[in-house]
Amino acid sequence: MEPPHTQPPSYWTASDWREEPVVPVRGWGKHVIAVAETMFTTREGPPPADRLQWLWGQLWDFSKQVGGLGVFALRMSLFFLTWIAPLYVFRLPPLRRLPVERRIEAMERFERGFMGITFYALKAMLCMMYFEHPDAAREVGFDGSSKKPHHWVDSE
Amino acid sequence: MNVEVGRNLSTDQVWETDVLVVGSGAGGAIAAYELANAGRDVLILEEGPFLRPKEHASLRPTQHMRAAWRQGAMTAALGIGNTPVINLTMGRCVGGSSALTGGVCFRTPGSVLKTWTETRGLVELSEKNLEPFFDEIERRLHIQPVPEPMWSNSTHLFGAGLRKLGTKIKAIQRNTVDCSGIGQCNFGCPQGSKMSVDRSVLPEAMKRGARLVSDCLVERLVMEGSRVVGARGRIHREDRTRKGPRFEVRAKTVVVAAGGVHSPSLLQASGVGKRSRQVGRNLTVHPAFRMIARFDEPVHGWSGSLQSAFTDAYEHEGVTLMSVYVPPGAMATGVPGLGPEWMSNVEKMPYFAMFGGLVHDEAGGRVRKIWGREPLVTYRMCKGDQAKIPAAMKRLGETWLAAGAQELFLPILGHQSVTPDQFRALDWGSIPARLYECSSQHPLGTCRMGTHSDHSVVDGKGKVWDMDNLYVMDGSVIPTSLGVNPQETIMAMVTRLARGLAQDLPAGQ
Repeated sequence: MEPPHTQPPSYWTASDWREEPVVPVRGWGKHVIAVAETMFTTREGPPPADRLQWLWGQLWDFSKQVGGLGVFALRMSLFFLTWIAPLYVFRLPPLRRLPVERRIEAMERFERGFMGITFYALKAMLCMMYFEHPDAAREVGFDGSSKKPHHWVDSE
Repeated sequence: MNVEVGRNLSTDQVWETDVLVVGSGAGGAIAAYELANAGRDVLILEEGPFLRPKEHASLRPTQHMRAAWRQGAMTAALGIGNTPVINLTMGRCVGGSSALTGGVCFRTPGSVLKTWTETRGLVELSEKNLEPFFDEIERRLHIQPVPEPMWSNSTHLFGAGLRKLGTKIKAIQRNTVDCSGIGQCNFGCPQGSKMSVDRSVLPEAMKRGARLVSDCLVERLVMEGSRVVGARGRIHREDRTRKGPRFEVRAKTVVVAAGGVHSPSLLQASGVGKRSRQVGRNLTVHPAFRMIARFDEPVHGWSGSLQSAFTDAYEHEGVTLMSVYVPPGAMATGVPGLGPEWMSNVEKMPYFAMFGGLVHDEAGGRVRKIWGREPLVTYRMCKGDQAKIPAAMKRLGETWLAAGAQELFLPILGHQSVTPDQFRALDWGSIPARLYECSSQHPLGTCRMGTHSDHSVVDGKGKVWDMDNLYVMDGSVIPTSLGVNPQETIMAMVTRLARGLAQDLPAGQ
């Protein structure tokens, strides 16, 4: 029996990601994209631009819905990464002006350094969101099929 | 369940009731049920939204965190000294954290109850006195062991490792009915199988006349001398950037059940407990740690129940090991690094298994009301507890290696993964406690129960010492750390407290 949803069921991935509104990348979004591009670059290259754009939309929605201390923690995490991490590889900030290889080096050193804990909040949230993209989830072998409920409850 | 959805209210509200219950989690729900069952007029106010099973089902983990977790799960206890920063997650929805737990239920360990009765003089909390309440809660919430076929491969592997080391793994007890083990418990059960209080207790309370309004943030209690006469607050709008209408409640009795962090914060905001200065102190959290192990064969640990088994074999070391699994993104966070090398490690995720450990801690934390809604939470880990972390790490690692793991990802910031030989050669003494990745779901003890106002916030009946009609009934009254998941303890204690209150309330209330 299929669920009486107004929205599709999740099974932990965003099967409907193409239907979600596109959030323009402005302000701190550019720094978020630069960090995400660095984090999720594989040996084949950076992740597709539309996936990063979707990721930014998720973070934007998070900041709108949660607000307050939660978003402050993320923004501080991004601030330190953007303006201090480049100094670890003797380059001037912001981080996004560096080529990807340099960014990787800078962020790795930053993560291992005494300020590494400040990166953790942003890394955790970006990872959680990124691997909800169905293509990203598939790349790590997760298809969500095990999360499909065996029965539905539509009671109050 | 006929919840009044606060965000649909567009104008200021005034409500009157006999008993106002602030919070609808494990404590608030039980208190409301018992009081409504005794014929009292009860109003429950919940800060978070109301989500039905079908709504839980339509949300991905991070969407669920945005909707139903406090601050989108970004809340933390700041470590003081050689203490890790602790990610302190709490529910903010109808049902509170009980809607987000793995459903794990433990009775309070006998050794803990002995401390409460013998050392702290709380004779009414003896094992014998609480046993009928535990029995009743277990019946009402269908608490039963997780059957082995529902365990994940990750848990089976850890169990095999324990057996090789001569130790037993035991099934966890959970509050479920007709569970099929899809492992979504932490993000709200889409099948409605988990008997969290929004499925089990609150509907019964409402059948008995209790009213529940969601999206209502109680900002302050209204005082007249030593009496509380009501509460004031604000109703959340769907769009959190816009302020909602205000509300006022006039109540003859108030029960605060907003959890281990927000109950003390509300009391502090209302000027309660200034004399004893105990409100917000004595926070215990059960610091928890997870270790990822990579195997040569696929594990697919995300299939099966998220939490299903544990071992108490290391209780004498202050550590309980417990099965746990997390969504792929959270798993990736536990792998150190970034970029191509990190991604190639993350892509091995189907081969990952995970198990956790929680520390039976001393009271080292504090909650302080500062500006804004969220209080400042700090935690100073004592030396004894710091020593328990490497003990937990060693036990987890040894068990994974006995099970055949080829690589271990330690929850230490900036630490690369280790091979079995590297793990055995690790100098644990050289790793500061503050570098561990730590989380907690069990903030307790910040309005603790005691026999004197000098060292506690509430008396044996849950009444705040310096107030006539203000009660606290949630995890914050628990006198010491438990060493196990607290929801059953909270429910049993609150059942006892609420029945006592129902008897004590004058007729007509």
